[in-house]
Amino acid sequence: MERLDSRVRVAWSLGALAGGAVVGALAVFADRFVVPVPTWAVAAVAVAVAALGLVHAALRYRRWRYAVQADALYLERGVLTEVETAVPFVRIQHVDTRRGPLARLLGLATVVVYTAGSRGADVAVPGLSPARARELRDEIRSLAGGDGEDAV
Amino acid sequence: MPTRLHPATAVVDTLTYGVQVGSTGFFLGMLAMGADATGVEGVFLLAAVGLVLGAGYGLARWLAFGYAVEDGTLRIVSGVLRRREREIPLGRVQNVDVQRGVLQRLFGLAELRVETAGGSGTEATLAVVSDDEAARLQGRLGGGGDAAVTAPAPDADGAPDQAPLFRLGRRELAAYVLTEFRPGTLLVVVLGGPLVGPVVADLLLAAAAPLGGPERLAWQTLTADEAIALALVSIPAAVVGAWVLGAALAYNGYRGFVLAERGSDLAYRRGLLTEYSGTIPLARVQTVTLRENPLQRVLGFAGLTVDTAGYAGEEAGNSGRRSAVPMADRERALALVRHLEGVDAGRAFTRPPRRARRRYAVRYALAVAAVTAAAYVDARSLGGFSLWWPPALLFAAVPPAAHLTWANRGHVDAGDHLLVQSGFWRRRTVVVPHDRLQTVHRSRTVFQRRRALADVVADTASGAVLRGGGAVVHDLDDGDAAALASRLRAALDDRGG
Repeated sequence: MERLDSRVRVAWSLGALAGGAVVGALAVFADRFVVPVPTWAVAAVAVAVAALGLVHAALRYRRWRYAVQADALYLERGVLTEVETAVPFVRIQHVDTRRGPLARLLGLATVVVYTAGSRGADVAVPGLSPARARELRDEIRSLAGGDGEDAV
Repeated sequence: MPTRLHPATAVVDTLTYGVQVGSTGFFLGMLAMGADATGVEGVFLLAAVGLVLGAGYGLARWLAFGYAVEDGTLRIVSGVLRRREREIPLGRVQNVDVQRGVLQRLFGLAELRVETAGGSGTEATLAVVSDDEAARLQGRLGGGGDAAVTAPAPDADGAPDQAPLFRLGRRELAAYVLTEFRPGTLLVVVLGGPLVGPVVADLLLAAAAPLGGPERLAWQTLTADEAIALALVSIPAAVVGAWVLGAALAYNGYRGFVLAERGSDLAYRRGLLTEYSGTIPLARVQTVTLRENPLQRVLGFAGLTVDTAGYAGEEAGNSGRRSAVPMADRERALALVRHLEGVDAGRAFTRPPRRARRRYAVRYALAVAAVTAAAYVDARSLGGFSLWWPPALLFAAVPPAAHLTWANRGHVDAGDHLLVQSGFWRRRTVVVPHDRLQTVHRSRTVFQRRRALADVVADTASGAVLRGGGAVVHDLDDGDAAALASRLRAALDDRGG
């Protein structure tokens, strides 16, 4: 089982801080226009949300595992809900790598695997180094390598 | 050379677009007149110009649209300003549906829709073609192209051939019309009721009077207790209204339902005023779902849905388009499942472990407690309303609700199929052939981990999964879940070779 690149923690932590900031902004908005909220409460809510997010990010990184097995791409992830997913190579339609602006800054990439299944878009491996992402994509692509069979 | 749609399309398009753009011109003219920019003659000039432009566009649309079936593809060119050319390989066609409204039937016309697995909507709509052409196309497009050669040609009115697999009996139609509840109609009644106006209001007020309802509808003076009394009367009234409306729609939609096997397709036809017919390639069937609500279970009826990858979530839910047996005697429904999948869906299911039932009880109790607390806080802080406690009565319903949830969930992994059952109000029994599985998930929430339970999700390409359904085996023992997930994976690999 492989783990994600540790830099993904930075990306997820930034996301948690952003979440805290948004909640703080909403509390300030509520204070101004709806009901008065004491300043300490605004700060406490924002900090609490950010802290929970940071803990979640750390646990999420610790839980994330993936493996290219003989017949399937296997994923294990989730903090509150633990999910294990097996994507059989025979079912894979195509594979993408994706890099958002933040991911590019941090030197990260995501591999997305599509199946005809309706929950197929769920299957993404985030937090890979660009080199590993390319490698993984090619590996999956060659294993999925169409035997001409209809994957539906 | 591509074929054009039926000339009637040209007439309808010309009129529709002419009137549309013409009336837009008229309103623009009226606005201009309001601003003193033009006189009456200007208004009529603009309307006339709009009419001509619109009519011209409608005609051009018809001229620009063409389709052809050649070399194993359906080719469609369309678009006046932006040309679009589509090629749909016949091997990829999932469903072909034909719809004929009352007027269209009068003139021998039909609307044809082609579904493929990709994309969210209908892949191609041919509206309108002549009846004969629709039947011819259905024959050529259905069954993925190859079978079209061997399939017997449908008779003149596009009817499935003589020996149908299933014909909806009178009792079954009655059961479907009367026992099926359609939430969509509730919305129509709630939004449409006020339009019918004072008659309805007077009736509701009269009915609510004994419960302490208001004397007349005046929102400013309405007390909270009066509002509750009024709600107690009007909510059931809306439900009954929705039920009557739904029954009428169901009767109209499913009268004369026939399902037949035609070559390698299933062909259906139904409908009283608007007639629907279509084909479902048997080789494309993903899952088969048996649906029963409590009333239907008592009376011994069940509905059957055949899911393919073709119908995208929303559309399949649309009352007009579902490819299924609306209602059948339970035994006949089970026989159909056996015929289609070779498996008995009426067997005994393995229920979740008993500790799952405690989990449901806790869940429902918490929900009731939350509602009651909210009502109490509301009554206290807003004041003037004393009926905060009725939600607490629901506590009495928690144990039976938990039991029923538990008793209607289960699964069987039998040979080449996984059968999953869940839901009390709308019990669904989904038959998932192993060779249709796409991915297998096993998931455990925090609460499930406490009780060593896990869900297994058997994902297929069926459109039903998008509707929030899909085959989820709820609350298995953790070890059993792992075993089931690996069995399903193994079944997949055997096939993948």
